[in-house]
Amino acid sequence: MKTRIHITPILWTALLVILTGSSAIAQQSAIHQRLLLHVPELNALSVPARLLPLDQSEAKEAAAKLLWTSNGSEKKITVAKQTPHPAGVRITVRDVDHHASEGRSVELTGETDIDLLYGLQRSAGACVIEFSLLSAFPASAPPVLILYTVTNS
Amino acid sequence: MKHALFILIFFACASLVPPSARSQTDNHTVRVSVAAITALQVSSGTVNLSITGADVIAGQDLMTATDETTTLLWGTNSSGKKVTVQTSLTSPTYTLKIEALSPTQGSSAGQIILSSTPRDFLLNIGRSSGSCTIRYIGEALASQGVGADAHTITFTVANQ
Repeated sequence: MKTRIHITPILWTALLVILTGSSAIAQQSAIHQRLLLHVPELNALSVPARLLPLDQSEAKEAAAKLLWTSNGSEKKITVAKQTPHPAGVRITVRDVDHHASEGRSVELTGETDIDLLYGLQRSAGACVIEFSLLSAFPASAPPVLILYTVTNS
Repeated sequence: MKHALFILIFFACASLVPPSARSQTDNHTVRVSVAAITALQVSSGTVNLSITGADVIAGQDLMTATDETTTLLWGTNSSGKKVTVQTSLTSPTYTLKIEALSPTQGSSAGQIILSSTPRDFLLNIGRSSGSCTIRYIGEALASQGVGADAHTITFTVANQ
């Protein structure tokens, strides 16, 4: 008398055990974490010298360093007098880490924004800005407040 | 009928025998098998790391942001183990560094730059359970512009 052994269910069971076991081990010895590193448009400006003395007797009374960082495209730096002031100021840019605006000179007479540095493209740099007076003003006058802005070209 | 009566008498007599006279012994073997077990877990599956204006210094090209909000936990009953780390991104735009801070077991491999090749993250964690803080440092240059890198970071327990 022959005994029949149904081998197919046994094989399927063995395969299931092997697959289940190996999968569990793999899940335990490694793990994943998702990380999104997001870099938006960022702009920064700095003028380390906050208060510059202006002497009316000198052609170039004061100089300061202007630093910038921008990861945006097609940017410029504008300059304006933030508060009404009787004196006009000439600003000349030199020693620029950027090729576009070397030797540019602008005159600030009102509160309108004027382009000082332009064509900035994903860069960090520095330049020297020189100030001279366009007209005399009383020594008792308040400081000239100048505003620098990074904006789109 | 005779048989049934006999069986009934047999069991009735057997029930009168004291338990000590009926006791038997037997044994079987129990084998406790402990396979190599490794477990890893992160306290959060997702990290958002964003460079903000506070991370930018005028005049400097490099901008950095740091995240230390997540923890890695592990357990292993095998000796000579370490944890490696790698990212799924083969060519990320920005640099992403990682470091294990204050591991309760083993030692940190220090600050490393993540790449698609596994790098050592924790060393000598054998036969222990422990945890460490995960420090991520994202670095972007102004010259690299605006954008985002989506990493899938894999921590793996490996032989040392």
